[in-house]
Amino acid sequence: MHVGRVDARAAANDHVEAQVDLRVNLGGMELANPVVMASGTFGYGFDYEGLIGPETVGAVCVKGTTLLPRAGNKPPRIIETPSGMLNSIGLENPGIETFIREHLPRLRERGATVIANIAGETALEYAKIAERLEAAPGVAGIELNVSCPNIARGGAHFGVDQASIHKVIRAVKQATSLPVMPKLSPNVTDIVAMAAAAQEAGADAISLINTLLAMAIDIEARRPVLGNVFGGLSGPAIKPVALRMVYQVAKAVDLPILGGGGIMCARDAIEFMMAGATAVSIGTGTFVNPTLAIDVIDGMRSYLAGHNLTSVRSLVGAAII
Amino acid sequence: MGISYHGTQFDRRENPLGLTSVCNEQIELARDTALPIRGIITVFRKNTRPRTSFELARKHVSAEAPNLAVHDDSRQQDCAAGRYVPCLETADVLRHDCVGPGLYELELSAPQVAASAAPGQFVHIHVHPAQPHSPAQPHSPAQPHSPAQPHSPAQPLLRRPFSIYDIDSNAGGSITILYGVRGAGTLLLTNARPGDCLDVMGPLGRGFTLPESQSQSQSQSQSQSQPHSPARSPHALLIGGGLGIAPLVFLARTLARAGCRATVLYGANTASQMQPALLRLQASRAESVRVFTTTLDGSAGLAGIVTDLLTAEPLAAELGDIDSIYTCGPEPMMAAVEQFALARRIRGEMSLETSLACGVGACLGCARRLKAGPGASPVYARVCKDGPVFSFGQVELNPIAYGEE
Repeated sequence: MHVGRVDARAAANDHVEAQVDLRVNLGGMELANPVVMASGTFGYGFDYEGLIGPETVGAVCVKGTTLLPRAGNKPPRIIETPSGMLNSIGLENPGIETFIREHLPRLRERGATVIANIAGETALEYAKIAERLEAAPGVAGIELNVSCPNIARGGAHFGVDQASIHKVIRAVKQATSLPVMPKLSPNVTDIVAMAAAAQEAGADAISLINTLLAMAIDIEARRPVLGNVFGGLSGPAIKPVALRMVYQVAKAVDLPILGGGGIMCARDAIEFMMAGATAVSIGTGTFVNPTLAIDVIDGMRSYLAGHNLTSVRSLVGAAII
Repeated sequence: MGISYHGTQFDRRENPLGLTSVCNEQIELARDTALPIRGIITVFRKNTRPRTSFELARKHVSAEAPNLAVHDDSRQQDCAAGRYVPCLETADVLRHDCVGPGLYELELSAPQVAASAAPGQFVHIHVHPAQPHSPAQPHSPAQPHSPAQPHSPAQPLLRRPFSIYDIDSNAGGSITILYGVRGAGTLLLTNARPGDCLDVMGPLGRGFTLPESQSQSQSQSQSQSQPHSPARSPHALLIGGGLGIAPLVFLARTLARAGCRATVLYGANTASQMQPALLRLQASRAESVRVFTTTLDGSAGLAGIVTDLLTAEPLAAELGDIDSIYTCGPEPMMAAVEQFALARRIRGEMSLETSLACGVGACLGCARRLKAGPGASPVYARVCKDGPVFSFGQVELNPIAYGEE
């Protein structure tokens, strides 16, 4: 008879939770809460309409966008793997002009905080896109995709070489006054060196991590499963790796971090914040649980209230020793 | 009859706890006054929170006060505006039967999906069955500050898409799927027992185009001159291979209800695989749905493949008045059907199957190449959002289907 009854304790807790401050500043990007939808998993913000809207979360990193439209890679583009999945979408997108004309106004109208994820083949291309975004109202910041493992030129090539990272960031910083946040590749020997190069070039924040370069083989067909042979591994399989990289970078570099990789619940997200992330990105987890971002926000609030903490910012780097 | 009517209406905004307490107030009131309460709690949702608020409240209320309806305002507004609105439901398993070799029928209580699903659409199911009533209450005293998920799924990670096979709008609304065990996901799903819960997302994708407007205009014009004659009603040809029959069963039953005639050609490996779908097809109005079968082993119907029926007498002669063709099954089969239709200038559609991640068009993982002139740069469509139903002539078909489960 008393299933789900709201008791006094819960009501008190509700009051405490309302006091919790979830706001964070990610290198100049003001977020209402630390939960960010990862690029490539939430389209341009409206594919999950009816389940979760773009204004619900701290920010939306939109699908990686290039100067000109791209058709994307040959299918198959995805395959499930143990505790994860591979993708090789190949940056299919309608190009920056369509984004600015069609998608950005809708996002702005809904009050979403938008982080534009951009990719190019040359530093000049990145700069050109950034320049276009500078003139378009409604963008909070730019995430530089210098780590996409799925395109032949550009992308990851920048992300695995310190000089290239430096060059791209400098070019973009000169083209825009918006906060600039490179998304680094985990496919490197020393992630700290890459992050340090980004800081030196003037990055405002760092996004960690993109997918891990991986593959799968069809043993009946005796060939790679993915049309593009290689793809990026995401999902809970990569969480410990991502967490380690966030921790290392947070210790060595003095920039706010957007941390993520395999977050499936609020506990995972809190781990990332304690490892040094100022905000967390949620990607593959949304495919499994479309309202995961909301669950994570609720879970963070509940954790903070339960530990008598008033601000989510007190979690950032709390576990660093 | 002297039944007291006590209508209640509430507006609560975005507060799951507030919502639960509204429910409790009403339940309390019903108990204290001993009056039957019929009312509506309207949930205004700016941000949709199906699992933590609406779903829990609905379940809670239906258990405690069946006369009280919880009604989801945002969803209704979206539906009224014709917007594409999938929903998430924690669906009770009503029935789960092994109906053939490695073949299962699963019926789920999913009122919201059942209310809005159209033939050809699919549901995306988290195949980890959960015991009922462990939905993580955010303030459950047992785990006061645990931010963990009720289930932390590891393997298999992704949801699995299933065509909607049948719908029962009586008794609250249920959906049924027909599936075969093909891999880790479907194998895990076989563990779901009646009473367990499954997380269901849907209805998703673009379904079949029904000859609805055509039949309406026809019956209107007919009603003036002559009584509605079945001979003039639209005639659809449905061609299914193997498990591809699943969306066609829902389609055939929908067509029959709409007064259309449906001829179903159904091919499978053996007779035993066909039984469940045949039973459902026969349960439709017999005069408007006719079924012809083929099996590879000859254990039922014509021995051979289903497309043999297109040229076999006496059926072939009867196909002259076909208005539209719908097909689902192995891609070589669908390619043959497409050729048959295009050669005769009959419009038609096919339903494609592939691996999906998001199911809503966000990840672009399920891309299929569209037909284009030689040398044209590739253009891809999303099976989950632009499909799974495509018109004939739209998509490049594969000689062998990739992306099993």
